[in-house]
Amino acid sequence: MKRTITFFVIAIALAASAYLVYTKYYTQRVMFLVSNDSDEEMPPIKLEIFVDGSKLIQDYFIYSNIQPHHTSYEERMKKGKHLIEVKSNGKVKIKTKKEIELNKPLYVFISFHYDTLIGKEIKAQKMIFYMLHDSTTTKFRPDSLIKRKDIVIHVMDKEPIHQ
Amino acid sequence: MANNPVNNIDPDGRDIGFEVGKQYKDKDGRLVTPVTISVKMAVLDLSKGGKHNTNSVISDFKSQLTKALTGTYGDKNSAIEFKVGTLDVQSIGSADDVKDDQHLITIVDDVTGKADPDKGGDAGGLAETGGKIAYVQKGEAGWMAQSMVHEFGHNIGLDHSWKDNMNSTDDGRNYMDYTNNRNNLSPEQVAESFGQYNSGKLNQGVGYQKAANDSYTIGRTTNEQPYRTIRAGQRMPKPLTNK
Repeated sequence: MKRTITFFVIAIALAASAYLVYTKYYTQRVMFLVSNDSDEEMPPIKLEIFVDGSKLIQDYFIYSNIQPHHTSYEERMKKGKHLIEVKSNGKVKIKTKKEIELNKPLYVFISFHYDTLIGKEIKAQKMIFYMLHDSTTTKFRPDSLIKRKDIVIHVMDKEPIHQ
Repeated sequence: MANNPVNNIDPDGRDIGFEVGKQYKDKDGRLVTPVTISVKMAVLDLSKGGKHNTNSVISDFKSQLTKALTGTYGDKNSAIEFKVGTLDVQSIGSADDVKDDQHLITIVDDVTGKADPDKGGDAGGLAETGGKIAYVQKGEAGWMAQSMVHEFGHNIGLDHSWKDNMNSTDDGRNYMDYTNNRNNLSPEQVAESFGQYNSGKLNQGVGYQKAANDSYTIGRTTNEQPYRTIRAGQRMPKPLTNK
């Protein structure tokens, strides 16, 4: 009996050691920071995050006008290359993907946008047209422009100071 | 078109304004519309034991913000020329000194929220997009000034640079990035802010709120640690939370 217990203790210790060695030397920490950065209030957006084809995260992300705002998920993944895919299959259908190489801790920002098209997409002439005309009549009024939807995956390899 | 009178957009006396000047043609024949940006702001330093000099940080912030907001957005035919007119930034000793037409940046010991070391990084600032309140955590003076521009960027409607594709470079120098060597906003970002101003999305709300009762305390963090008991009716920086 005593021998059996000893055997199991050693086996558990070996298994724990193997797990710790595997975790330390073969995996790496990945922090997913997911946010809904739309420029106006909207219902929560459901996002699914896949790593190498397997679903890792599925959640709803609420809009907030406070920056920064994100939901954090700490994961450990095998070192090496991985494919991150993000999908939304609700009312807003959109997907994107990005390959990452995991050799040190990474911070993966995933940001969903549903924004008014102003800024880069609007030409200077349109802006001037808008300024020169009654905003109720100009067809170039920024608010009347079509919306864009977008998911951005951004990877940082240094611990961020969120602002 | 160049001879047409241009209607000035009155900056309406609020904390952030864009005033359109008279158009002219530059030496390349490009139609240029000058736009002068005005900012009225108060900075309230509630931090204790910081190594920074508040007035020096404010001076650095003003210099960096002026440079960041100055630039030309357009193409070979027409452009908007942004420059800073009035940049009125006052150091105040109490939230009671905040004027209704001022934007407020509050310096605190600690910015709290979802962003913390156990959840993927500490938090150094917090801001209300399109609003009139932002918080910056005490730290190295140069970083604080950059972070004040960053949080002000959120207040004028800007996203983080990696999200909006409007930063002209991807070298971490954009103020809306997270790095410690930031020195620019792109003309597209300033134009974005101008567009949001025209859409009525800026200058939302106020930077302060009045305490409901005598025991209300404001925080050296973003309203989470007691700092100073204030009386009912006195002003405190508008609390923000991203929880």
